[in-house]
Amino acid sequence: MRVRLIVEGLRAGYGALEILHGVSLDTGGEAVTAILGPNGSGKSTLLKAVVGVLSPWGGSVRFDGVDLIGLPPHRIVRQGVTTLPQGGGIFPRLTVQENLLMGAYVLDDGQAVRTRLAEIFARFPVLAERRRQAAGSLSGGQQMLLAVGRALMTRPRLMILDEPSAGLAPRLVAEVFDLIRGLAVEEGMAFLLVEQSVRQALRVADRCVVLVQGEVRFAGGPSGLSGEGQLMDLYFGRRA
Amino acid sequence: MGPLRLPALAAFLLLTLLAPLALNPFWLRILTEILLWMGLAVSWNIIGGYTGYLNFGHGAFFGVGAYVTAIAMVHAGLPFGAGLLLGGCASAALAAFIGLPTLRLRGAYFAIATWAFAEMIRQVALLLEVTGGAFGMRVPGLLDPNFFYYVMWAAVAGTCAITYGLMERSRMGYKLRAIREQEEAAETLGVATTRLKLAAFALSATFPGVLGGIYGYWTTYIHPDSVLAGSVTDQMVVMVLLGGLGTAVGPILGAVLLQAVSRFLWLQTEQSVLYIIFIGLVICVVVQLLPDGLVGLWARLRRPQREAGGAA
Amino acid sequence: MLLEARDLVKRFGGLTAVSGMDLAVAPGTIVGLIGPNGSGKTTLFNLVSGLYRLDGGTVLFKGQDVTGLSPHRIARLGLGRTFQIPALFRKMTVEENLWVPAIDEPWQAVRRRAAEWLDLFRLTPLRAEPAEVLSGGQQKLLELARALMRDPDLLLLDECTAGVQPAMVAELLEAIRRLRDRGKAFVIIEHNMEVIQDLCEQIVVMHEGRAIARGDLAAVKQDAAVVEAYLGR
Repeated sequence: MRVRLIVEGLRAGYGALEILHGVSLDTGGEAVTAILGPNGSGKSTLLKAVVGVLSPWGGSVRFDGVDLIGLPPHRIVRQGVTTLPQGGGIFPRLTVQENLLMGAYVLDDGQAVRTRLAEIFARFPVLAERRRQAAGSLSGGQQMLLAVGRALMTRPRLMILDEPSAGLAPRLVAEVFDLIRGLAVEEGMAFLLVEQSVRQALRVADRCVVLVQGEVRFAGGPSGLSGEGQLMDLYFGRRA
Repeated sequence: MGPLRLPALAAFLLLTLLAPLALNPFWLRILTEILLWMGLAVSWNIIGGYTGYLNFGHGAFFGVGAYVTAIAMVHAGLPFGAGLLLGGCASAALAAFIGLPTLRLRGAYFAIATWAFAEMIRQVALLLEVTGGAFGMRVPGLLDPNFFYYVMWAAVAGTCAITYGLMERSRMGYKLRAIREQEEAAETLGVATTRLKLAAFALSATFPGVLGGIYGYWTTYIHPDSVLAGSVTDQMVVMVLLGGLGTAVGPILGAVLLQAVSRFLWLQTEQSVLYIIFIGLVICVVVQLLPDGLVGLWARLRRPQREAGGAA
Repeated sequence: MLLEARDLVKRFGGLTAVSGMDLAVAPGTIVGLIGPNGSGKTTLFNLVSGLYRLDGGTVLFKGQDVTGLSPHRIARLGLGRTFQIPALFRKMTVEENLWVPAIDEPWQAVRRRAAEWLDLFRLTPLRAEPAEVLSGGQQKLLELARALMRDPDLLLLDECTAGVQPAMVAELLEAIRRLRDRGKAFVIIEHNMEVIQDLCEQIVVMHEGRAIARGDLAAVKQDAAVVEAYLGR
């Protein structure tokens, strides 16, 4: 069974504006959980509150039994949670290898870092070929691989992704989701992702949560959603 | 803004007027210098306080006023009063000219642009013949004890402070503060921001222009490194920030305190280096501990009382 | 038509944020503007209100070409707007915020009108407080009241209900409807579809900088292009 993230009654916002009005979700030990919802529904805010970038106003976030609220972001990384920001957040002027090593900055054991680097290179041969190349010179798809590779350096048990498809060509979007599915199966990891590209996300998700106006309007397996009509109903309201 | 404000102001004015009668020339001179700095600091606050545009070239207007007045007297043979008028007008016109491109910049960019402009003016004054270049310029002075200058500066500083105060409740004042708080919103609400910023900038430049003209008449010798030195601006800025940016009393308080310390340290050591160190310390303290200056500190100390009173 | 924006184009570097957008608003109507993140809705507001310079297209307001006019001139012709993140004069008091846009009018009239709006939006007890102490929802209301102080004929509202208490939302919508009945027009960007459903005669869906569908909510919800814009390929 994979690690489990349980969020209960989470409230958060910016300044005086509350965005999340008590959000609960449970990954339930499943591999891929997708958070869906129209813009302005609070999806990115939810991720920020979970990983401690934004201090929640109330509620709880438990990961594998540990309360994450109040932990600084680097401590959360040590717990086995890693985040992939929108666009990957790679360092374009550093080389591929340097980027990967940056992903291991919370690890103290040099030998373990070298072993992990070799594993990553074995998994993504294209990165090994270009290890001395500046990351900014890679293609969009390769940069995404690098970002994922870097996130894998700490052997996370949960990877959180904010719109992995953003800015990628449609063909690459499908590849990224296939990669997520593959990693989930092979490495036994759990994924929590926010995605606008709903059709792609639903293809690989075991569980989905639909967030509208800062509230959960649907939670369950994709099969529980009766097609895209229901999603549009959730997004646009049933009365329309 | 308590009920004490008006009597306090009246008492202050009365003391200022009576001071020359009671003081010996030494103290009168110190008080005269304080008045000069008061005028400069308050004028800087007109653009800095109301609009939030921090002008790091304000000293240039002081220098330009000094030079234009001196040139009008020396080369054109005009009387002092006419020269002074020209000095003030020249500063205002220059501000309008410089403001047109620089007031489009925000934050640090405006500060850097105005700083560069002041440095350019200093270099020009060093090069030109009419300014005497690096030799500086002798100005025919009025060999009067400090009383004349005391009155002149008190008048200019007073006018400047009253202007600042009147603006607070004026239409222009509201619009300028709106620009400081949220320029884009002000613009979409029909406020002609560019024109107003230019007007405020020219107004704030007029006072140092006139003060500079009087300064040259007073010292009888001006040089790019005296009236156009960067330290002129630095002192104004520190005085305002120490007292409280955007407050009526802050710059006056800052000018009195800093100038008093400056003269005290000079009398003790006859060196200016201690004062420069002191200014550095003041900057550190203000930035770290007093973001709203002494006036802000005063308000902070009083607030708990007021809130307790209000709740009762 | 009160507003006619034709073929608007705005580029930021290599990115085209608005590409060939048309928008027409008749007096006394409320147009809802929806679309996924980054579809160009707020950029469109910035173009129409003059904050951004257009790279192409024309904007006619009350039949007058306002393309390239500075924002304060467009505002004086009768166009008001609010911002997604309330752009209040934070250190000025609540009532001073309302005075600024109308400050060239006679004092008594300005104060009276400000007091009326404060009353309607239940901000009167806070009138002497600095605007920054208001809650998110109150800031939204104050910003709307401030835009109304110039008595504009067209208002562009960017998420005017975000953070506003549900009971207050109902009153806010009622106020907007009353203003509409008096002939004022609105374009509203709104994520709350119930608000859109309640208020708007016409809905325009934006995606990748242009309008992909127009009509009522039920119609645009069925539109294949809209479904794809929201759910991805």
